Amino acid sequence: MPTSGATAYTNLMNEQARSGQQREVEESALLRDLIFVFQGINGKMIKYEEESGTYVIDPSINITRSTRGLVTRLTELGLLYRKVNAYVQETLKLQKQETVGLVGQSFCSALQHELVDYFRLIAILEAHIAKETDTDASKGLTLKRLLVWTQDSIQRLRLMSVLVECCHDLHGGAIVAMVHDYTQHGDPLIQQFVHKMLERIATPFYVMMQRWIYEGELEDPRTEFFIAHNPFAVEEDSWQKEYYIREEMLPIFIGKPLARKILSIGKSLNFLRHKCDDAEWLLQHHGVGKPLKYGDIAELEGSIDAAYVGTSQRLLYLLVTKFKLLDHLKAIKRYILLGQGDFIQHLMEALGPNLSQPANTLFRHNLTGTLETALRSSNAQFDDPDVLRRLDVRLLEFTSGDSGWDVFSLDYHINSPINTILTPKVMNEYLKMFNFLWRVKRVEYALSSAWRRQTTSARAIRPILELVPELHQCRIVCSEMIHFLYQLQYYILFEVLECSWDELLKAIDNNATDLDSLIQAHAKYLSDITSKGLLAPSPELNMMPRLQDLLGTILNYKIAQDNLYNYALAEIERRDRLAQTADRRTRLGQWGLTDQDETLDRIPDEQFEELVPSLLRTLNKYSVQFKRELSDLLITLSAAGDSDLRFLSFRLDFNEFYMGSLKGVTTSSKKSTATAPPPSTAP
Amino acid sequence: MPREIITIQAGQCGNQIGQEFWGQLCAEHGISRDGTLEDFATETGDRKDVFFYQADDEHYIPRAILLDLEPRVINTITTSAYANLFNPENIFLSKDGGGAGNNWSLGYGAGEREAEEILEKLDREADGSDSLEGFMLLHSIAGGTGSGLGSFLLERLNDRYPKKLIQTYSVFPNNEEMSDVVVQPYNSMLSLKRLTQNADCVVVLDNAALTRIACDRLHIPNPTFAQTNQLVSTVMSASTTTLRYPGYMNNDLVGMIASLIPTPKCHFLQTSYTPFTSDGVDHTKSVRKTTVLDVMRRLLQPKNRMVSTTPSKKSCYVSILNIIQGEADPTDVHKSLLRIRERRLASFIPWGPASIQVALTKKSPYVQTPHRVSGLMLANHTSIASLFQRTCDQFDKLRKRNAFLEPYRQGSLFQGGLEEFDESRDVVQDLINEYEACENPDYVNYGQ
Repeated sequence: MPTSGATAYTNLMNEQARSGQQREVEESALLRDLIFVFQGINGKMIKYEEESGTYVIDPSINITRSTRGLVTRLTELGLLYRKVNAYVQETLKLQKQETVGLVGQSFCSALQHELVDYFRLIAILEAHIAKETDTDASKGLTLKRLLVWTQDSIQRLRLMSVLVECCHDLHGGAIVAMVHDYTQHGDPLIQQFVHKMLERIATPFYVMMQRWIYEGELEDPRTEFFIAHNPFAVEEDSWQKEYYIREEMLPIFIGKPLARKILSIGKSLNFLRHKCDDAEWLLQHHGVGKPLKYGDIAELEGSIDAAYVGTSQRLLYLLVTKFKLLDHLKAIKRYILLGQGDFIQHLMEALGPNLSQPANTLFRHNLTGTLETALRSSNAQFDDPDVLRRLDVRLLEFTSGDSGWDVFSLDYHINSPINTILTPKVMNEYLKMFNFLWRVKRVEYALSSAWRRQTTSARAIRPILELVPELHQCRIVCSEMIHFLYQLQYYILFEVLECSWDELLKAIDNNATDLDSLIQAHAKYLSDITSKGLLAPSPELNMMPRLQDLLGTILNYKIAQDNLYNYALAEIERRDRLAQTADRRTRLGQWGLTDQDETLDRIPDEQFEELVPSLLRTLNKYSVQFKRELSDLLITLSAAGDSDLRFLSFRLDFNEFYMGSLKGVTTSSKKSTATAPPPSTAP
Repeated sequence: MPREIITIQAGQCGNQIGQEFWGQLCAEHGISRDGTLEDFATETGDRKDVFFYQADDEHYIPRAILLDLEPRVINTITTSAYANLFNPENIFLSKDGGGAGNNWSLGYGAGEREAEEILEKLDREADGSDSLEGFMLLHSIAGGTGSGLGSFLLERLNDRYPKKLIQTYSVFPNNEEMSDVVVQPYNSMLSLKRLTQNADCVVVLDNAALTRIACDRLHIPNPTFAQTNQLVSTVMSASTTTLRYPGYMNNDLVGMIASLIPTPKCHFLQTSYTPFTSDGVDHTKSVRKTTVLDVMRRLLQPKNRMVSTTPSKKSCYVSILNIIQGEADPTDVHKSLLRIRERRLASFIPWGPASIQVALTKKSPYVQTPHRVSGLMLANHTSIASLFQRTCDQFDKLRKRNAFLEPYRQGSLFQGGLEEFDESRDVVQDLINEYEACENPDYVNYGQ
């Protein structure tokens, strides 16, 4: 605006004229004063005033208003310097007390470095003032020139003072993070300046990172790094809990995914060193890798990725080869999840009688002996001795009234470093699964023996005509139970165990990038088999108790059936004896049969009235109970939205036999609630 | 305690099948022809001790008893490469060597005469096992030795080992065409009675179907018995894989057949197998993609069934067990079952729950096959009654005319008359009736 510029000029002229009348302060004096002010020292005319926190020009002196304004503007530099310097001094003082972190110190030193530049400027300015006395004014320093020349420094100091203000209470990585925010500034000059400063500030931070990702050492005495150590982590949890990310120390340019990788690298290195005894590899790869510094994020990511892939692969490789992770998983599948059928068969056969005893009469050493025998006499004997050594018997805690079946469990001992994946908690889940599968197996064997009984005694007891329909019933019910139990097991085998195992193997092969992803894959596998295997609590469905009830009913039915067959065989024996007696008598010339012996081919009346009906009643009771419990289960399953449970109901009712009867149940219950059923639907 | 199974092979057919069967088992377990373990057989996932035992010098010896009344087939075995495989003490040859002349009665009579020696062999073999599961009889029911001697053994085994299971692989005659043995229907009928009453599980194979499969599937125009027997041994080895390669389920014979046979009388199983390949025949165009679904679908097709039956509209499956060998993907099983039910590819009994059971087993690492996956179906299907009915019809034709009965009268069973024939006919009729009753919902109340 030329007009206002013109007025300003005239004003200036006037003031000069006025001041010329009074005592005029020389510009050079003001400049000299300002030089002091710039260094945070009071000048003759310009003094710092504590109350207002500003520099004040001696009001008595005679300078033009414009000069006064100019000088005031220039004092800002002094103020900024005071602030920055105060921070630096304070930090230096604190540093002696060792409360300032390395990053804080380097921040301080970066500031000091900038201040040195600043002092250089002041020195130059001072030189100019000195020169001015002997050369002509046109080349010398004026307030305006000073303003122009210090523009740069003002800007820097402003920025520095802002940084000082922001970072005043901050610490370590947080400082880096905070300063980094200013690199987003629109002004390229500021960007550049901050960037340069950051390179200095972040140096210790990057040294820490370097130590961490190349050596796995966390050298962070003042807790400045974004990875922290938890000294209270217990041994099994060390991978999960020993090191963690301190969010507030995480600069935004690193980002969470990268931070997790960084965490993983160091953890892996430590894991390799302490758990895997892989010092050799570590020595070879000691500190190999590019030095890290602030700047190119892409390059940083590149170095981190390289280190990440290197260490993770090494760790996974060791777990799979040296520590036989997959072999252990397979062994657990074979033994704890009953995959090794012949071994389980032996164990079941040898332990069965023992386990029916009350839990408190069982002794672990007896059971381990049986375990040994089962191992030796089955194909398990060819297994890796290391695997077999880990197999053991465990007796779970029992309450009074528990039988051996409730407390017996196989156990598989896991040690370091595999116990990072197969933690005691995880193993406990496996044992729960074992307990369930073992119960199911037990019922399978009970049914097998019931079937064998039916089949092999069928010929012997054929003559008892009175029982033919009952025995036929018995077989039909038994076959229904067998069908239920087999389908339950097929479901567990295919839909639960094999499919989940397949997924686990795929996950390990394709997606396992580090130990964390491995742990995750395994956790998913375990949760799959427990939830699909109906173990996971789903209170609304109440699957587990239902299944337990069903299994219990089948066992009761089996016992009742055994009683019936025992009776039938005894009856046949009685008839044989009688026939022999009759034979003997006939040979002796007597009547073959007396009055009491008319029961050669029929069940004696008193038995037919009491014993037999009671046997049949018990059988019938459990058969009705089984059917009721099964249809309840099917109704629940059909109502369940879960696709896995639908698979089970699909298997249990493959030929839609129950569908018809269930429909009957549901429609009849509907009918009973409906107020007026249409007559056409009545059967 | 390996749940041993003792194999009894009786007669020409039984021994020929047995020969193939043992050859197949040896190949699958990496056992050489003289019983020593091959150097390459280092896998440990298999159980050899179900069918073999180890002699003091670690040789594997089949738990097998070879019986015949004429020396031809057994001589072939004892002069073959497998000569040293079998325990010579377990081979029984009738002293006169005259054979049974396709007469059931002579075979049965020979059994009675030689009972002591034969049973002594059985007892010795049974005593040598820790936990004997049962016996497996291989025979044909049409001739003299397999049917007659086999029948005798079935009866005796019941008495002697009342708690052991008896499974038979019984080859039925080709009753679609006229045979040179006119008394086949008599022999079949008398054997069928024992199979019904004295066996716990009968795997029915018939020569008509075996010949058809050899022609259609393997493109052999006039298959020899050796070739059809090869088919039988394939089926046998496949049906025993779950016993020989233990897994989560079906590790013993009871476990396997308990779910197949809900009521004791209906214990006749049919088999299907796919895909068949034969070593000598290279023009089989069988290089197809085999998935679990393909295999399961093909197993349900009548053309792969190894029994010729004529199903009626009401015929249905009582039970099915599919044994799938090879690199089958367990996740495919559910999909396949779903598809089969969607398409209604199999109809089941109306009186109880029934499903297709699937067992996935390993394939022997020592036997190379061009197929990724192969499958065997063991099924209890009511249409088997039609096979018995055909036997009955042919029997009735002969019996009505009292034809060719004279040779039978010499046998001890027929001294007092020919009631044995009619009794057998009744037993088989009962069996047919029960299978037919099985097709109705009120089978639950059968026999009341």
